[in-house]
Amino acid sequence: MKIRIQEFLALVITLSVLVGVPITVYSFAPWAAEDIGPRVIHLTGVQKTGVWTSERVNAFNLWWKTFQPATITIAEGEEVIIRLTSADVIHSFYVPELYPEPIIVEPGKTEELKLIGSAPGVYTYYCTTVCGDCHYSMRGSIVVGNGGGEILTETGISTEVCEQHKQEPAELPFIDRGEYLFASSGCISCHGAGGQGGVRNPNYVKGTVPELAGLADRMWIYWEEDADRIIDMLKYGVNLSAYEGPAPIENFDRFRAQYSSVRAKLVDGAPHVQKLDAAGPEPPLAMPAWEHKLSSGDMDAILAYLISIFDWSQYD
Amino acid sequence: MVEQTGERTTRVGVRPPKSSGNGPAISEPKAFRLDLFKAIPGLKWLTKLRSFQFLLMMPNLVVFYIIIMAGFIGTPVGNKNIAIVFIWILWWFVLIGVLLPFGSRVWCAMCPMPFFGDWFQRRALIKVRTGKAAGGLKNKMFGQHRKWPKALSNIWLQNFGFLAMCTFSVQLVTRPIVTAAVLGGITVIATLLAMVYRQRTFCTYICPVSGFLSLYSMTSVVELRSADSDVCLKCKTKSCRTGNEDGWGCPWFIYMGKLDRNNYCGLCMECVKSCPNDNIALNLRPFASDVKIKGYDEAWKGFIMLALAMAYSVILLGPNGQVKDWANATETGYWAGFGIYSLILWGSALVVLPALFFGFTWLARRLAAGVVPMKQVFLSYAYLLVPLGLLAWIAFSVPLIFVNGAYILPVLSDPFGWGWDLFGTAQVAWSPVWPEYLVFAQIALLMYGLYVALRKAYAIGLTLFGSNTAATRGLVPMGVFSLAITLAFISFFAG
Repeated sequence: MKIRIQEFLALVITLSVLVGVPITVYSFAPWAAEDIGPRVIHLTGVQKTGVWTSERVNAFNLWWKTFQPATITIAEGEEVIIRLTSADVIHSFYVPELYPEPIIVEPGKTEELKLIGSAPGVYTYYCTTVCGDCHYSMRGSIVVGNGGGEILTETGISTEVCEQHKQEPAELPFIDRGEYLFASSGCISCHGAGGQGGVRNPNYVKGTVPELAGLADRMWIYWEEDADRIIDMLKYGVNLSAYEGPAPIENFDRFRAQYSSVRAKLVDGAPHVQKLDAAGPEPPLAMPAWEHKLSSGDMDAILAYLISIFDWSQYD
Repeated sequence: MVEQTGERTTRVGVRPPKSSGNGPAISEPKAFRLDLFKAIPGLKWLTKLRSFQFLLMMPNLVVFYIIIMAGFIGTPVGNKNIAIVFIWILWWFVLIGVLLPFGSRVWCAMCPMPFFGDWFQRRALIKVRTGKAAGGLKNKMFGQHRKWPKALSNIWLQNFGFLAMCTFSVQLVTRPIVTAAVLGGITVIATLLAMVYRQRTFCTYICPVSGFLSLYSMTSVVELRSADSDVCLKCKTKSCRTGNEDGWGCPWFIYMGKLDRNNYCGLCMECVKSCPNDNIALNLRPFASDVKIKGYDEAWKGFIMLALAMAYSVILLGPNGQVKDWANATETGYWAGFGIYSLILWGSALVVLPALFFGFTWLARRLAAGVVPMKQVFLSYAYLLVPLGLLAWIAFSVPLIFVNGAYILPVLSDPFGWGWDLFGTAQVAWSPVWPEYLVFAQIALLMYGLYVALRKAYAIGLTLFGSNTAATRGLVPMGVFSLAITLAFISFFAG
């Protein structure tokens, strides 16, 4: 073949590649596909800010973009396909009131579930696989119809976007450090801001996750001075479960029993949550074990913070 | 005897007579060479095709194009994105484990990254332009065609560039965007530099991959050489260097009559086309036939590669959680740890290993009672870093392909991680191949590297010091060094 013809063919091949490859790729991209049948909603799990997002996540924007949690709207009676992928680690997608089981989503795999907007209302979806520091904020809403006429809100949930690796402030006072850990570890997402509680836990016998603002009362601490004394002992690392000295506060034995029980729950978690309807779905929120995430000092700082926030005026 | 090739001159690597110390050289028996152009029918015809390099480059260009796209718009999940799987599992293993030892720098002939720069300079994809250009070329070239500064005409830039790039290796091998940005960046820089500087200046002096290809190509069992150097001496046109109507002047600035090492030959085969005397041979030869390290830049490349192989063995293969966290600072946030990791990596590659090595070479010279300058001893023995380093890298790469190679088939069907299944292999499950036996293969490779290093250490000692006794004395410290390096890698892989 003559060189001139070869040169021309090479030019055609080169230009075809440069133009043709991106056109071909884009025309078969998932967002370019026309779905036949029920509406398809694409959700991607993102670990770094703890969201299921409907925004397009790719290798480039994952670096810099802050993704927003998706709020899914479904018309009453509409059937939709939720197509789930993960951008990073294993997540799960769980809407206990609309679908009975969590869907485990491994990175690189696509999972689907079909939802029907049978009853108007606002339903919360959760990630139930601990996926990172922002796991506990990884939830959002599915609004069916008009939301049942009333938009239910997750009372007390922090609305700040979770930021992994947020630098811990240096030299925080003991109680402030407890407050910081309460927020940064994700306790706040279930127990509410200031431990006020009120966060719904579908099919949980008590309806909402226990509040913690009244912890001092439940630990048999009835005086502010007693609280200060206990906080001081926690601050200086006294092992209250094994403390043998003179009782520092009234009802110390009862306090110690409660303290040990709370610490055990912090360390080991409480994976089994009592159901309201025994045949119904598993409540999505359960106390995780913090043994490998928080140090003993961290746990005491959190307890000190929770004891400190008790509203003593209610005893006046 | 002074050996002169390309841009450098050195006195090392020629065996003196056994009986007379550092006296004049005598001719040694001709080493084994088999001209593959003669042995394999059609091979020369193929390399003489004007379209030869285009046909090699184009498939790689398509794949690299897809890889760069996938790195930006594909899934961020590394093992589901072709950018990570093809580059750091498939390409890396093929490059270091197959192409380099068995094909020298053949990758440089098919590398798509200088494609656009070549195209710009030549304004041609297949044909040859004749005319005149600076540097005595008889090909018409486009662009400014400037000469690269002499002070930078070495591989120091490649050394530092590669070390800097590899400091972020964890990000590079796990995040598709980083891999795509690096490949895309290299392509852009190669193209821009081709607009300003002559031919393959980028590949010769800057490309971070080129540096280690250069060093380790010395071991390759293949070489491109003049079939008869007398013919080259009598040749008046020197068309291999200057080009003619049949071929472009060597893009790597090589005159075939003086080529005696693989280091800077990109195997583009233009000289095969342009040689008016049909005097180019593609030889099969014994492993590790080139033994001359010609400058500190090349020696330091050896130290850097060895240090990186050690660092990667620790952070990518072993159970060293703390160091992994340091190296993976973008995910863990341990930037102070990353600083420590970087300091250790750069310190060991640029200072500690060279200082240790200097100590051993000083001892070798002392034990052998050699009179040759210390610089010559250091550079000559620095060749040991080549077989030791290459085999360590191959050993390191073995688990990549046997354990993680299972990701290749799914990614082939779904390169962007979008749920495609082009060839029905998207759902192939990850299953490592013979993971329990890999360590034996790794040890065998390391032992072969040690064997080659010891043999070469003795031969180099003989060249330097002139007697069996002196060479044996010199071998003792260099053998201890080689053994220590080998044992260190064995402990990384098997410990």
